[in-house]
Amino acid sequence: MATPSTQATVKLQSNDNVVIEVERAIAERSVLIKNMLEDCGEVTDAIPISNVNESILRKVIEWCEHHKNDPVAAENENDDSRKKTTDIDEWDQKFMNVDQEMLFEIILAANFLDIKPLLDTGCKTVANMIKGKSPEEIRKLFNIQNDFTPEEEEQIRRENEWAEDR
Amino acid sequence: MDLQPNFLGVILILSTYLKLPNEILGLILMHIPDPTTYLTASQVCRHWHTLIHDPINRRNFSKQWFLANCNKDYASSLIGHITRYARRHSKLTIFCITQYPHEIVWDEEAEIVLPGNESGRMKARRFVQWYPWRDIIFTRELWELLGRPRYRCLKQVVQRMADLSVGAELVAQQSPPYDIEDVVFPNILCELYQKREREKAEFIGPHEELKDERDYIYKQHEYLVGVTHLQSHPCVCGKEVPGEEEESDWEV
Repeated sequence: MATPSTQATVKLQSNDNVVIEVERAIAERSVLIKNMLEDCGEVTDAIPISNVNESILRKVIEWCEHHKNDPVAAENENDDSRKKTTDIDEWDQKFMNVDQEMLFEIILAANFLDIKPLLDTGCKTVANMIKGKSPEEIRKLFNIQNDFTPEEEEQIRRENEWAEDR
Repeated sequence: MDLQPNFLGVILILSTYLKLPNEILGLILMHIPDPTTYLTASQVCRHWHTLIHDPINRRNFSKQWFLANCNKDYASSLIGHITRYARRHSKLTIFCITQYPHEIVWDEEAEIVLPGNESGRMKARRFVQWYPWRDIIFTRELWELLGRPRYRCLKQVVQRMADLSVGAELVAQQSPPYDIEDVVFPNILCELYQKREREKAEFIGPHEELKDERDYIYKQHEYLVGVTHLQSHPCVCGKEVPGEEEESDWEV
């Protein structure tokens, strides 16, 4: 149970053993941490964030800081919160303008820490990168091996023909 | 030695990408902005092909597409419902990826809610009677715009609707879920509408009884997406439509 004298900050420890102190309200953008703090009450030790390294953790905290005043989405993750695919606010666009590896790491961290809006923003960013690209371009983008035989590829292409852009 | 950093970079990217679990890839696919790209992505590799054709992912994608788009343009929703409804009720065998009945997943949320207390059957019949499918005009222009395969596909859908509305037995206990072909046509037609802004109202929708055409169509759209309780919202004409307290008095 949260008491009136709840601590103002919490310490988070990345998997490369760096401890970062953040405002509790900011850390609580992460549902994982929020639940942990609620369950444990006072936590003076650093909380180990075992899947996330320092640079990613700092990046995630930066996001949480910027979004600390956003209304928290309702429990029943309703449709409104994830409405428009292409709409990513300007700050987030800049924030997500990082190399691909980091982008994926941020997505993974958001997933692990259970920060839904950040996860959505990350996924939208990747989805927007895919938009309008040919299969070959997508493969290049993510370094994916084409494991279809030419016959299979042709068959799938025909499968999709009805929906193709002309 | 020059190659080494590059080589390492590739390995790193590869490994990070490989770390993404299927559920996150599913989320990413769900957020792809248009159905054409979504389907194109199935040609990337076997893994993506499986993910993209996974009914759950397809359904999530389609739902997301509707959420993101259907309020912008009522037309997208209307045509979407035509295809969806036709597929469900005519065992459609159009050239599309959800031609396999066992893949159909029920989705209560997607239920079409029309005003009144009719039984499912009534709902369906009235829905078909009322539905503006017959006002789609198959012109050469449309043919040119859609291309042959899609034009034929849409025509078949509409033909099935026509056949069905002549005394066919329809049961709509549950409505079909959104699926990929439900959003392909709307997406195409959205683009069409943007080009033909002026003819928008002529292209679709029953006209005879319309007092305020746009408002009326907008309301139909609201019913179709299951909104019986209208909140204050901007109309397609740009004006603000006031909210409504009770269910509307819409009648056939």
